[in-house]
Amino acid sequence: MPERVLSARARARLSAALDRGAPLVAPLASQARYATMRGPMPSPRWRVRALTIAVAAVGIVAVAFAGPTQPRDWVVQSVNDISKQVGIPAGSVTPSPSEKSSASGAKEPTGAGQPQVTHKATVEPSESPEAEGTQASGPAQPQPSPTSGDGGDDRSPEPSPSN
Amino acid sequence: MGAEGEATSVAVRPGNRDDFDRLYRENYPRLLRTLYAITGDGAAAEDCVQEAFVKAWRAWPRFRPERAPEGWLHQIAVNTAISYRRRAKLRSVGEILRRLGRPPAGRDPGDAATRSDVVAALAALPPRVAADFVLRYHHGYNNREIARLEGVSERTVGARLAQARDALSRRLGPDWRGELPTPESAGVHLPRERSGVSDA
Repeated sequence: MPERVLSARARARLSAALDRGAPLVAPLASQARYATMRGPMPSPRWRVRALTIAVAAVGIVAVAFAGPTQPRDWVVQSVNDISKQVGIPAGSVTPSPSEKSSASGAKEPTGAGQPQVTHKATVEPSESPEAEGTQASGPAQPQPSPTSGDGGDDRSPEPSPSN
Repeated sequence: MGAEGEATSVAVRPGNRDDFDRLYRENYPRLLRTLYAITGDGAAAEDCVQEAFVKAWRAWPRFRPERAPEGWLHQIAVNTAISYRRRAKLRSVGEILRRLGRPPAGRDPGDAATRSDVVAALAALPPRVAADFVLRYHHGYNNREIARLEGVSERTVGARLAQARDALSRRLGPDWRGELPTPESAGVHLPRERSGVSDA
C-alpha cells in the first residue's frame, strides 16, 4: 500500500515550526549533561540505595535462619502453675504437640500420686536395654519419681495450696 | 530542514566515550525536534533530550551492537518525553486545584511567541503518534524504517500516521490530510537527514 505524502505546503509549515523551536546545532558534547558524570555506571545515589537494600535483605535472612527461636515455654509453665493453683488435674490440660507425641501411650489421666514408670520407658528407649538388665538382676523396686520424665511436673502429687 | 549530522553507519563500541559523543552530535538535533513535537515546549524538549542521553550513557556499556543505536536512543528519548508529559499533566491538575475559584492564568507570552499552532497540534497528539509523524514527514524516514527503529510493525506505523493526519487536518486544514503519491510526486525525494536504519 503506498504511503501517503503531505503537501509541500504542509511540509514547509511543519519544518518551519519545528526548526523555530529547536536549535539546529547540537551543543558540544563536553557541555552535555551526561559529560558531567564520571562514567557509564549507576549514579552514587543508586549505589547507596542498592547497598542499603542488600544489607537489609542479608539482615532479614540472617535473623530468620540464625536468630533465637521463639521462647514459648513460659506459656506452658504458666498454664501448669495455674492448673496447680486451681486444682485441676494436670492430665486434663491439653498438652503441647511435643508432649502429645512423646506421651502417646498414656491417654488415660492418671491419678495424682501414681508414678510413671511406663511413661519414662516410652520417652527414653535408648537406655531401656541396660536399664532393663539392671532391673532384672536387682530387686524389682519401681522408683516412683514424680519429677522424672517430660510430664513430671504435670502429674505432681503435691496438693494444691488453695485446697 | 536542519543541517543535521549524517547517519551513524560506523559500528559503535559499547562503553566507548568517543563513540557516544559522536552519537550525541549526530542524533541530538533529530531527537530534539521529535521531542519538541511531543512536548510542545522547546525548553522541556531540551531537558528531555539531555535526560535521555544521561539514561543512555548509563546503559551504554550494556548496549548491544547488533541493534541500531539511533533506534535505541529514539526509544529512550520518546519514553523520557512520555514521562515528562505525564508529570506535566499531574502538575497541571495540581495547579487547577490550587487555582480553584480564581481566574485562570494567561499563557506565557514567550511561549506563545515561539510556539506555533502546528506544534500545539502535534503536542496534542499521543506521544508515539507525534513522534512517528515527525520521523516520517520531517526527518524523511519511510514506514519500514520507522517500524524497524521502534520495533513495531509497519501496519502500526501506518495506523499512527493516519491518526495523526486525521487529527491535524481537523485542526489545521485539509493540507494535512495527505495524498496518495502521483507518478510526478513519486519522484520527489523527501529530505533524508540521517540514516542509521538501512532499507531492507
